[in-house]
Amino acid sequence: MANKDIALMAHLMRRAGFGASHEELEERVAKGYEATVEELLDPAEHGVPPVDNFLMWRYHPMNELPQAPPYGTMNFLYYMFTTQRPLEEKMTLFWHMVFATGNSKIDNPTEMNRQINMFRDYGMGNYRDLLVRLSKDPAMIFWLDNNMSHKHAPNENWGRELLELFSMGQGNYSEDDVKMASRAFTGWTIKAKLPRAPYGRYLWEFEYRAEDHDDSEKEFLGRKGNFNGEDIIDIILEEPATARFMARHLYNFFVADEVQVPSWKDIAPRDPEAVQAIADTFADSNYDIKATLRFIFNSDFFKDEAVRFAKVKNPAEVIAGTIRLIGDYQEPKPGVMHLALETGYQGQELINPPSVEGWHTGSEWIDTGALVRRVNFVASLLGDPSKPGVRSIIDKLGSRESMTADEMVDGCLELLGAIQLEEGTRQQIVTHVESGGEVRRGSTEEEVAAFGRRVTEVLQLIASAREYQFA
Amino acid sequence: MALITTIGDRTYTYSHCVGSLFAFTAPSDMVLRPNGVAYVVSRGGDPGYPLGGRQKWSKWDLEEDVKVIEASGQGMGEGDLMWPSGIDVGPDGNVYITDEYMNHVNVFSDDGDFMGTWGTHGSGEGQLDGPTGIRFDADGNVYVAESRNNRVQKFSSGGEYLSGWGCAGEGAGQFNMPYGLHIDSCGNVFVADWGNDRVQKLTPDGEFLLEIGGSGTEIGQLQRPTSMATDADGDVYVVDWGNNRVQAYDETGDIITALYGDARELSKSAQVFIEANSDFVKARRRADTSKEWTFRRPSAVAVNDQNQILVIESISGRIQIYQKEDDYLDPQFNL
Repeated sequence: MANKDIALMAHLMRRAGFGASHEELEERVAKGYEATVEELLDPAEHGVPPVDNFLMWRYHPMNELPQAPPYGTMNFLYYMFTTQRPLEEKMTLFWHMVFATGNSKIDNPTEMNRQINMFRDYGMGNYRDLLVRLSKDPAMIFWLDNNMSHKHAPNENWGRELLELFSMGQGNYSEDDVKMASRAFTGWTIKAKLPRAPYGRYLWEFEYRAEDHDDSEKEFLGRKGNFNGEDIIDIILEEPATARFMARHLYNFFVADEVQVPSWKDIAPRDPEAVQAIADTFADSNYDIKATLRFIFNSDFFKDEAVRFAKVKNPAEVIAGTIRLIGDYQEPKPGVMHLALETGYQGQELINPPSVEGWHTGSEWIDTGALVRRVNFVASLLGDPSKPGVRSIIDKLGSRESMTADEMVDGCLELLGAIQLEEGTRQQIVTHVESGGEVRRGSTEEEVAAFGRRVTEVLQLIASAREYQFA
Repeated sequence: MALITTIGDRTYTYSHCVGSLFAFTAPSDMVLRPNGVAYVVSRGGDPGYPLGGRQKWSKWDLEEDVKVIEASGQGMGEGDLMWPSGIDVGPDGNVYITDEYMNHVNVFSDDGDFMGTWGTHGSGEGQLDGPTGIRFDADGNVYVAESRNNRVQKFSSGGEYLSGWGCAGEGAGQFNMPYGLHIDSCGNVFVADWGNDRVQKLTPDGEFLLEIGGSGTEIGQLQRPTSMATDADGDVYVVDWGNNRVQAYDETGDIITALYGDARELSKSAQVFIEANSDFVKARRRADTSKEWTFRRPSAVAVNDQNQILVIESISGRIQIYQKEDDYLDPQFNL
């Protein structure tokens, strides 16, 4: 099996998923790149089962309708490291990061879970449908105050962010357009809710109050009419800026790190042609998300070696990817909460982004504290030979009679999912291995254990390298 | 979902509810004693949560709707609970609790003092892997279901292995992650065959007698049943956890009816909580409270000596109580 095929598949699985073990990469290469893309895009069609909610709720009953925020985070993360539908989950994360809604204000992890479920169920469907669902999502309505937006006193928060962050981007609409959009969404609100006590949380419900809707004529983006919310969405989708803005989001999430979103109005995309090509596909397919993702993953700009390891992993990718790699938590067991809290310690507390703008991505994931945290987290797990994935790597390398230090390091890189290190870094690890003497598994219990320790040491060194922080 | 359900010659009248979220945290099992006390074990949250997983067992006064005692906490030390699953009271008056993660049975006095532990991890005779349901028979022996060994074992009350049966599978006498247990008045054993969406009734020696349920959401079908109880007439009540209901079957396994929860009024303890805060009162007056009536993940069912059927809910932390009427007289139809 050609290394370049494995490397390309590893790239796809890092971006369209949370990475993959060497065995999985080999299986997928044998199946074919395009076939793998199709399976990722349409898991149900290919017989890939969803996460078993009943199993999760049996062992983690607080995840179903969580009272406390960490259980909401735990629910989302559980999906990430157990799902057999990694792209579905990656798109769920994508929409969570774009349509950023935070529990800090919602104060209802059950509602946040419902929003996340909506992204999971419809995140690879049609963008218009998703925007309509988002407009009716109670968490979003409360997050952006649309329940406070009334016929005679519209609140502009939702109308503004719909245009600025969720569809068109700054510079493509006027303040008057914000006002008109806000008026069009008056009456889109939430039914009176039950308190969280004495029986726990109940889901909120969307309610359209016709009597509180401003049905008068509005002028929005040059069109006139008695617009309601869905009319506003339809007009937004007629604007070329919308496809371009969302295309840049997709490029930033799947292809290579861009500057932060607020700078997009001033700084051109890293690869304008690629972004335009994505935008064209998005618009031409009538905003079919799946068709657009298919285009991206099969494009030359996605497969280009120049964009591999050109994205800093977000903390969810670091954590879920590592847990999947080491094969832990595949059977229910306590302790998932530690992982859920870890997302926050690394700077991405799931279901609680810092603002409606979402998390700043790329190099901004990394600061001194976060980097140490990320390295320590990964290194501690890769250093544990009792984890099935780590054990598997040790056993695979140990099946060879003996090997050079180069072969040991390259073997570890390969088995970690075709990781590529800068040559100087790789050589330093090789030198370290050489300093430990001949590399062989041996046969006595002590020799086998010592070999295992040397392998895990190399895995930890790789995890500490700069490149491991990139997807 | 009416307050009175009449099917053939059976009538179930909704009576009242007790408890709330503040009483139980993700309760997984419940047994009753003639003194009007429910013994409830709560699975709680993830033991890794720094604010506490709230694993516990408690005695709840059903008449007064107040806690009698609450014992133990999260952890892996002596007397701690990680994934408590089943609870029963032994003939010695002690309380026995299975721990699905620690693979043992913890024993407490009726006052909540830790008395000891039995069981070791494994798949051999007498060893445990994922112990869940636990029930004593009339002779003082105790049956334990194991979710990972897919079997039921019989022990003396001191933990001495007596017998065992079952293995993984879908056939008669085979199990898929069994959950709750029930022993009827004849000593027969009911097993909630969770992953197979059915209940199996077996003799005390494990001989297959009857299958109830089958996968689905239609009346009579089950999704991940967790608990069973039988009443004085031999009718069987099954917690249909995945479908948020309790189904009643006759002794041949034919469906009688389903109960979905009917708690139109707050429990006594919940009422006290609400009335202490006028904002809660106000918020409830403007909301549709009908969502509160129904079961939310019922986890265990028990029948007391007055033929009352008690159902505890994992999410709402509440026990809803139905009365099976003996001599119910239907009102005139066309009033």
